[in-house]
Amino acid sequence: MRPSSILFLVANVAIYLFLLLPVIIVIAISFSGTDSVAFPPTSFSFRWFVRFLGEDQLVSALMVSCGLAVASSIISLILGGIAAFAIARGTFWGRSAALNFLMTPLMVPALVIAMALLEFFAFLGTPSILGLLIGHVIITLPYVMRTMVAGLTGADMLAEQAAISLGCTPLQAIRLVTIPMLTNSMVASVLFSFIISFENLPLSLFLSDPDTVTLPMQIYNYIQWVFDPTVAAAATINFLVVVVLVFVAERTIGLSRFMGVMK
Amino acid sequence: MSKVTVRDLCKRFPGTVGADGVSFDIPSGQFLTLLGPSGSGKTTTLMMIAGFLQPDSGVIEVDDSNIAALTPNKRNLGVVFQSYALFPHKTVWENIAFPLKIRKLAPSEIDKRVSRLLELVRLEAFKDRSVTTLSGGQKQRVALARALVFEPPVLLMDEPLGALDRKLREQMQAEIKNLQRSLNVTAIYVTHDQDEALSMSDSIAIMNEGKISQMGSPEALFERPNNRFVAEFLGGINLFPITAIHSEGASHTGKLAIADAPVPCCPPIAGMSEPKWLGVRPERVRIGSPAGGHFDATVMKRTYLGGTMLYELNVADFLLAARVPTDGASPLPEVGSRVSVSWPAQSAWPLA
Ligand SMILES: Nc1ncnc2c1ncn2[C@@H]1O[C@H](COP(=O)(O)OP(=O)(O)O)[C@@H](O)[C@H]1O
Ligand SMILES: [Mg+2]
Repeated sequence: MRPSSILFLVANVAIYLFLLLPVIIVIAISFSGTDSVAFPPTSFSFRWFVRFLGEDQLVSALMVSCGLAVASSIISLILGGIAAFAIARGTFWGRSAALNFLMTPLMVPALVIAMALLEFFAFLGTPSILGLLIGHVIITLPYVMRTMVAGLTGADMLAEQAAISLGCTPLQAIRLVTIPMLTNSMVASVLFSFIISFENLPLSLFLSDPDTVTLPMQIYNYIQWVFDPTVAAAATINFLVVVVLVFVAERTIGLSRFMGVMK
Repeated sequence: MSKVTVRDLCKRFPGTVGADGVSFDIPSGQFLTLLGPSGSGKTTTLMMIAGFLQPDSGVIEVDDSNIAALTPNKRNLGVVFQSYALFPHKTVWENIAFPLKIRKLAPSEIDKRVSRLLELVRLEAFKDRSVTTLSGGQKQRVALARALVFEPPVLLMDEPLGALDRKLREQMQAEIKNLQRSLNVTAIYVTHDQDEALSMSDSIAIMNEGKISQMGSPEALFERPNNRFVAEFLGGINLFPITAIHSEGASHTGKLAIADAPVPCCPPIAGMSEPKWLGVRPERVRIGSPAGGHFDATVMKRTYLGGTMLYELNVADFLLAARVPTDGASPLPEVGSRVSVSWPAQSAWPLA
């Protein structure tokens, strides 16, 4: 190996270590056998995961997070899919303005969105869970829009025209050709929305009530009072959910495409 | 197989004209090519026939019935797009069977017809492959099979070989032509490649700025273009500025701006506006010993091209091209020598 490529390798390893080390430490601690948070752990056990399952607040927070993520990603897919279709195919005036407007949650800090929503929902008297759901739909919508608009404007969408020339009505063409061709984009949209929603803390900080605490929020609360490996186990579970989703994305649509949408 | 009649098709776009009074007739089973530079209105014309563009005015008839008011899915025409437009989530077989399934044919009939087409485009071995795994040429053969399997009377193709490399294109040209002949389907083909048009077509319509500039058989267009645009677009041409044409009975002569003596030419086309040039193809220019032709010139440059030698000749600061066969029968003068230039009368065309 040439010196330059050795240097490149070393730099790569160093960067990955720097990025991953905190996660590795937390995961290691969550499997620790001792009572205190110490690194490196001296013994191995699953006791903190068992303990996690015994902590009603953490388990219910996990449930709330999963429920929110599932509901908001499905709602985002439906709303965003319809909006993307109109924007990608329509000829009405102000299409790109509409797209830019729906993308703005990407540019506004989540804390600002959360605070604005808090004021607004307090004014309307919206229940916390509904407020959270609306907030999560707002922040996941840009990811759905971007993925679906890209999918819909892809060159092979001529296939829809081809289907019509082969005898389909426009609605048949959408059902038999366009929607099946958009499967990848839809899978990517849902996975993204799920991850974005699942790991979001700022919205919960402002919009959660005691019954609607999400997992990131509960972890945050928990470490303010106690700091034992239970919270590391919670973080590991949080991490695992995301890793599994990324793995699914890799298998179904290819990670490179997935990452392309993320940046 | 059906005859197609197009009358006065017009389509305006904001700021431009897509098609401006396009008319043609295609006899049943014939192959017509719309040939022209990019932006000349070929796709606009084809898409109006396919039904994806609404014409501002005009008539489109297939076997004497006007289809201009039908939606594209009711026109029953085969359409092949440049980018293939295959269904990526379906196999080769499913792609080709698609139009038959939409038409709710019996499964046994679908099987029979798809198998026949698969055989015609030589893709039997690929029938269960996903179309995304095919090469460009194979994809275009699937697209052709899919557009032909429901036995449309007319096949429309918009630059179907545009995405393929040179060698593959030539092979596919022959293949499309064979398919069209053996299925006896009337074809309208769009391309900007003159060699493609010359080798495939029964007739060619040359388009320029939304209009058909000239239409005819490949030979007719190449051997007697009736305007400067067609002459320049189809093959190389020398354009000599002329000041006048004289006619005496059956013989015609043109007065060149660059030479004293009048030169022989063919008669101007009846009704054409005042000719301003004489067009002579480099292949038709003859080179001889000085003072033996219409006028003399100096050899500026010669380039060996295998079968021919390409000469660049200077006469009174006008540069003309001549292609001389390298078969030993014609002299091949050196650079700097004086030569005479001539051509047969029927090869010099007055052009406006
Ligand atoms: N949808 C459209 N909107 C506006 N102008 C168009 C549209 N389609 C084509 N044109 C214009 O019409 C002219 C002819 O285009 P086209 O038929 O696509 O040419 P070709 O296929 O010969 O390259 C061009 O000047 C093009 O810019
Ligand atoms: Mg075109």
